[in-house]
Amino acid sequence: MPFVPFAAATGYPDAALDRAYAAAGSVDPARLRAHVGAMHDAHQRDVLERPAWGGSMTHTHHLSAAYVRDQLASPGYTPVVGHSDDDGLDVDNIYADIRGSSRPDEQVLLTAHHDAWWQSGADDNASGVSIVLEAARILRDTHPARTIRLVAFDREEEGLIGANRYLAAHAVEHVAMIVNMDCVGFASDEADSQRAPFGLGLRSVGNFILVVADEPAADALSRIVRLSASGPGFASAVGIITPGDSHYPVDSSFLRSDHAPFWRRGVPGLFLTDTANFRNTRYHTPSDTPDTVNFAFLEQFARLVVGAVAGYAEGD
Amino acid sequence: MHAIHLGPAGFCIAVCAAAAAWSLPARASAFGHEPYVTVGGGYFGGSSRVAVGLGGVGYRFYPNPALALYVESRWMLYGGNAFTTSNGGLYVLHVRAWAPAIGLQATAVFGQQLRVLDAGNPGVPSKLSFSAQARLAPLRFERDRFTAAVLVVDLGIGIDDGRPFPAISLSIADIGVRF
Repeated sequence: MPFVPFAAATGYPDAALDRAYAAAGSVDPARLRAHVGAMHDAHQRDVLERPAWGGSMTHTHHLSAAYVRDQLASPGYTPVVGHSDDDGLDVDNIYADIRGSSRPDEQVLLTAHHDAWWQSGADDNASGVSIVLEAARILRDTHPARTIRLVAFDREEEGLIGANRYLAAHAVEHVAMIVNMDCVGFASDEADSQRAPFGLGLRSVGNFILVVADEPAADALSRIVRLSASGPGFASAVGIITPGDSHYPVDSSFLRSDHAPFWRRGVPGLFLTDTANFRNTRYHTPSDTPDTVNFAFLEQFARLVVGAVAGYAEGD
Repeated sequence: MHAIHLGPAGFCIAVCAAAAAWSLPARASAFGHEPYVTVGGGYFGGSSRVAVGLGGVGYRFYPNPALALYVESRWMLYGGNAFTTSNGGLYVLHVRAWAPAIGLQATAVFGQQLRVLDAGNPGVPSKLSFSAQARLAPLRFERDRFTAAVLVVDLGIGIDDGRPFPAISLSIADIGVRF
C-alpha cells in the first residue's frame, strides 16, 4: 500500500521514518483476520477455568498460549515460554526477540495479552495478539538498533498476573518503552458510538485509536499521533498523557491492562486501545466474536503500531 | 417588598431607606485581611487538557469595605497533581449582613493534568495554561469577622495553544475569618 509521507511533521529521524513506513506497508490484512479467527477457535476448544475469586465467568488461556508459541516459531523465532505456578496459578507468558544491532540492551516491548473470558475474546484480545504476530513476521529481518521483544502476556483478565510475573523475572532497567495493546479491533462510524470517562471529551464517533501515555512517554505519544496523521492507511489516533502512577481518580480508566505495572515502575509506555467498554457493547461477553471485529480498522491500527514500533526501535 | 403595602409615601420612604442601607456597609469594617477556604468543584477542560478538583485556600485583602483583592489556590486532583492560582478583585455590596460580590480574576493552571493530543494538535501541550474568569457570589454574607458564601461561581475561558477552553468553578462553600 503506497504512502505519501509528510515526513517533516512526524518527529521521527529520517532513517527511523523510512523503517516505519516500510514496516507499515507490509501489513497483510488476511493474516490479521486469520490470527483473530484462530485465536477465537483456540478459546472455543480450550479447557474452561473459573477465575481465582470464583464466579460464573469462564477463562481460557492454554491453547491461546500454544497458538502464539507456534506462530512465533513459524517465521524462525525461538519463542520463550515464561512459565510459573505461583499461588497455584499457572501462567505462560510467551515472548521472542528481534535482537538489536547497535543498542541490543535497550528493549522496546510490543505486548498483548492472549487470555480471554467466555471462550470469545475476538476484540479482547485476539485483535492485539494478531498485531504482535504480524509485527513478528514483518520486523524479523529489519535489524533494528534496539531489541524488539514481542510478548503475549497471560492472565491479564484476572488482574495483570502475567505482566506482574514478567516484571518479577526480568530487569525493568532494560525496557526503553512498552507498547501495549488491549482491545484494538472494534470501531463504529455511527453517531454517539463513543463514550468517555468523566470529564474527558473524546470524539463522539468511535472510529479512532486511543493512545494513552505516561509522562515519560509524552514525546513518543506525540510521534505516534503525528505518524497517524502523516498519510493514508493509518488509523486516526487521539492521545492522552496521564500521570500513570495510580494516585489519582482517573487512573482507573487507564491502568487497566498490562502496561500498568510498567508505568508504576516508571517505564515509558503507550497503551493503545479502541476504548473497550466505552465503545464495544460486546466487551467481556460471549458475543465478542470475530464477526464483530472491524478488520479494516484493525488493518489501519496494525499499520500504525508496526510502523511506530519500527521507528521507536531506532532510538529517540 | 414591604414598601408595596404602605402606599406611595411609604414606598418612597422605603426606597430611600433601602438606598441608604445599600450604599453603606452594615458594619464599617475594621478588618482588612481574610484567609479563607473554599470547597467545591473546579473544571478546566477542553480539547487539550482536563483538570478537575474539589477546593482550595485563599487570602483576601480589603483596602476598603467595598473592594476585596484576593489570591486563591485550588488542588485539581482528578487527573494528577495539578493546581490553579487565581488573582482577582471583587466589588462587594452590603445590605446588612448580605454582602454579594462580583469580580474578575486571572487563573493559571499548572501541574499534572490529562493532556490531549490529536491530528490537529499533535504537539505535547504545555503543563501551564491561563484563563480569565468572572466570579459571582450572590449568596455571600458577612457578620463580625466571619464571611460565608455558598454557590460561588467562576465562569470564564482560557487559551491553550491558541485554542479556547472552558474554565469553570463552583464553590459550594467559601468561609473566611477576617482580622
